[in-house]
Amino acid sequence: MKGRRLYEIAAMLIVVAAFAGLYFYLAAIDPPENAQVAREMAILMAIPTVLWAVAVQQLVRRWWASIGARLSTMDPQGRLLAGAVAALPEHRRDWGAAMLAELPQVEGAWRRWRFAFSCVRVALLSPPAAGWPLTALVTVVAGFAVVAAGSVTRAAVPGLEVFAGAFVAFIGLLAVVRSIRSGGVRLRVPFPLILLAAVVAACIGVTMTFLLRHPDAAQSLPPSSAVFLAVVLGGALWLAFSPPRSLAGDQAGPHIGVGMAVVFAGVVALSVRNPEGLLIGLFMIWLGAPLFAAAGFLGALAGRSFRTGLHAAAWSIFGSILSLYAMWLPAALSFFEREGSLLLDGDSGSVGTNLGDAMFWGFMLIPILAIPFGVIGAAFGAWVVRKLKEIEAGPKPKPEPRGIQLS
Amino acid sequence: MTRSRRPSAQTIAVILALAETPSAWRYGYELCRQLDLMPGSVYPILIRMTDRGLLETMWEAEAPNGRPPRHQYRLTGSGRALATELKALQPKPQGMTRWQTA
Repeated sequence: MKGRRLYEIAAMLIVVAAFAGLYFYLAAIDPPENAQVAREMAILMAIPTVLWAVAVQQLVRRWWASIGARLSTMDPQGRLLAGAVAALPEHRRDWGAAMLAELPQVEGAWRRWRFAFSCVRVALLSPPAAGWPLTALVTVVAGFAVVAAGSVTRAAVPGLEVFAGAFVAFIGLLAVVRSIRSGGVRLRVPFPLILLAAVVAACIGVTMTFLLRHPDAAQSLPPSSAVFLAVVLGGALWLAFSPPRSLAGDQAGPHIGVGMAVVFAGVVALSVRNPEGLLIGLFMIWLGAPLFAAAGFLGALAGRSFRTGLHAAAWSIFGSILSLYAMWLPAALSFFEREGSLLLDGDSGSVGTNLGDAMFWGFMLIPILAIPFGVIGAAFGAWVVRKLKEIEAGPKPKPEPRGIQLS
Repeated sequence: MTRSRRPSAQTIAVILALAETPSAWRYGYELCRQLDLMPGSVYPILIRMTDRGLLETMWEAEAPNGRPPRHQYRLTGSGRALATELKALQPKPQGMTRWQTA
């Protein structure tokens, strides 16, 4: 318990330090006009700080219950070996556990280090689950695909070649990792999967259309932003096709997450028709961030686990931010061509600014609130499930009174 | 199952070590110590042998307090047959009498 508290406090302090650093960075590049503005800015920054601190504390608590407590009792050699075992492909996990179970028999620090490092070598050089030939083929195909995507896009949609190369590289890397670790993909939830894949395709389509109609807008998509966009879209596909074990919960997760994302997309669809509507809509979304908490909560209830809650929250967040981006750009394009101003606030500016606005709001600001809300919702749902189980199990027997009772 | 090539010297050593007491369950670290091999060599051999059906594995049913149950290994029928075959192919050390090699 003491160890867990220590980890929780350390994790929360890291969050506070990160947000404090962000505050001072923002204050340095754009100094507040007066003390009042600085105070308001600090209060504004305190909201996500508190949310993230609580969310991180909940994540550390779950991590501690699953593996953290066991890790804390191990020596450095044991931790090294446990880390290597965690990296083993799924079908070799038993062998990792076998190596870990042998470590207590090894006496002497030097012998234990030798044993641990030797086992790490086994874990790292373990043959891929799909076999070397298929993994090599996937790697070569991924390499060619990256080169082809870059050169084809450079000719077809100038300004999008970095994104295309990074996106294909990200997907290729995931395919290679998948072939090493488990040799296949899980396609157990076809409807949400198809929906999310369609939204990713829509995001790529609207970005291409935007840059084809206004090639000068490519200046608003520098290489760093292009790679960021590729990672977000690739991350959504990763979640859909090949989620990590920590997010591969019950099948209810994707359905609930997509349901919440559809609600979110509905609010966005109603608000992107004019700049005032969009701004109001975005602030509604800020206030409506508990939508993501609801996804986490309902997911945890449906799957009766924190993990399913997290899974649902992740699907709702990806579905929501991608649909915001996919609807923002076409609306911004038609608004700019009609009114000559930006969709976000009706101000004047270059058309490319819309691209930066959509990415900043969709992929940075909203997730800053949505992620902690999703985690907290999942934690609350898991807590309710635990309480319900306790009620189902009936009241705990009262301890026998001590001492001799005189009748 | 057909073998396309002769097993490595280390693999032969592991198979013969397991064949010494074919009915007994053995442990990975125990084999490492007996053969003076690193686990990085022994475990891949055990994994390959299991994949090829030469070895059966089982988790220890009861482990003493404070120690996790260990993974145990012993040769299957085809593993024993291979061990017999390999034993027959092993060159007998020179200068040893029949009773010493038996």
